[in-house]
Amino acid sequence: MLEVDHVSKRFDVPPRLLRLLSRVASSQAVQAVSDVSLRVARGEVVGLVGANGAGKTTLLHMIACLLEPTSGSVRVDGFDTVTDPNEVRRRLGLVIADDRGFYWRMTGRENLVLFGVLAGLTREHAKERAEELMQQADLARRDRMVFGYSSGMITRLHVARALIANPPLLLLDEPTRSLDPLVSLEVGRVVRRLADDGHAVLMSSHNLEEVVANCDRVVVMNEGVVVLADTASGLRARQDGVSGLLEALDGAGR
Amino acid sequence: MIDSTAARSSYSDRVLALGRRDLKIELSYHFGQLIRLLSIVFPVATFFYIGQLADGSPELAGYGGSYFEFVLVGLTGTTLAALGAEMFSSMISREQSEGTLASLLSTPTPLWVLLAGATLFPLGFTAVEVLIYMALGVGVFGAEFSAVGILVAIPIAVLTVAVFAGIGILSAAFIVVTKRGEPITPLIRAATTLFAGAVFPITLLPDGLQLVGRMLPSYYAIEGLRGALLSDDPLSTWDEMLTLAVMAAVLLPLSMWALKKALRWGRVSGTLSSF
Repeated sequence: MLEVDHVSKRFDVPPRLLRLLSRVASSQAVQAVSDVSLRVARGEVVGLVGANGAGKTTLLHMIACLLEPTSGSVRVDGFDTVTDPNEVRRRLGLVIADDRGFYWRMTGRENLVLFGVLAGLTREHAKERAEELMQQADLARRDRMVFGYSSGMITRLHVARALIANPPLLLLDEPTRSLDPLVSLEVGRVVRRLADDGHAVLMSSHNLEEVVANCDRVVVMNEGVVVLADTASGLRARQDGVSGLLEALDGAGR
Repeated sequence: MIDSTAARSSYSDRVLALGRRDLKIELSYHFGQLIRLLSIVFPVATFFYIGQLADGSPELAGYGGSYFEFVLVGLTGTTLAALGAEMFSSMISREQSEGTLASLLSTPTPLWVLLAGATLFPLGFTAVEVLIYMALGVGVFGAEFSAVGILVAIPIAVLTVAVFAGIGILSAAFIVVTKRGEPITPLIRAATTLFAGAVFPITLLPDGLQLVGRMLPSYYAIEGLRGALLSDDPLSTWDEMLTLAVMAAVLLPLSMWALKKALRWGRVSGTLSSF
């Protein structure tokens, strides 16, 4: 379903003229992702773990066609993210780690219907799906304009939007961010169920234990590089367990 | 999972959905647009009374002699030019600052559909604005336009919006790159007022500045509209129409190319959702 082959992303310093027109975040080039390869098959949940700045979000944005890789390739169902971006977008749902991204002066339901239609659903179908997902996300009774949503509700709305057109590939960038522990557990169960229904899921998180609990395989990134890839059961079976892995990760960062 | 047999939304459904979005957002502010529409009364009334002083000026002879009608058409032309220039740049600016640009661009909806959807509400609103201008001018202040003139004015209005849409898309590309925007719309309003003859004939300007006026698309838009609505021969506006059509034919593809390049730059530099 998802094939990432030797992908790297380097943010170069923009040309002098553009720096004159607008300030840039950094005056030095940044190598955000280096030679990352991974696969996610249908029915599989792969967890992407790493500290802030590890390159997880950059990688997810490259898969979602929001960023172009500097080198390497990303394919979804055989479609390349650079040459066939619309075919790729048809096949994926993205949960971004950002409280923005919705029209705040529309209700959550109205946002879902809009993005459903833009994802290719008819208006009637989008309305049905929106209603179904609002119920599942426990937002239906409390729906209001998005500016009145809490962070947790916005995160759930992001998950609902990613599912609106029922795409085969789901990219979840820290889907449990801002959620309380009980709802986080529920998200884990939802992710598992989606995989059981045949979706391919790539999910990033800071929380290694959560990822090990919910994923089939785990990819650990540090400073843009994959430092470890193993099955969740393999990680659980490690003598030093998850805490040992955390220490290894810490060591890799030094 | 993707069901290839399921009915899919057409591009026109998506354009309508985006128009509905803008209407909902505008209605959520309750009074903003209403006040804007009501405020139209003030310039129209002001120019009606200024017209009492200026009527009969020899400079207005070629435009039917009435300053009020002259300026009413000028204001309409300026409104149409500002609409074209503003609708895309303000859309891109808003989507970028609200973080919805990345959300829109991660849907499988082509860029031109997103842009077309962004035009529906502003076009509808401006049509109402222009109708109010005209209704006030004709109904309250006694301006007179022929039916043939109004029919000829419609394609000129469409071409005006198309030309300025090209400029607006260029402005949107600038915003994508610099994150700060709408440098062009205020400039267009000011230049149209001073150089393109929105509120006085450009023959009053020194020769050099008249030349500047004749280089602006808004001059041809306003001259065309005046030719259609105020002259004895509305069909004598072919030159203006042709000039506007050529400008639109050049600017629209050029601006789409620039916007695609700017979005590509955003994808390469990782600045698409920053602002």
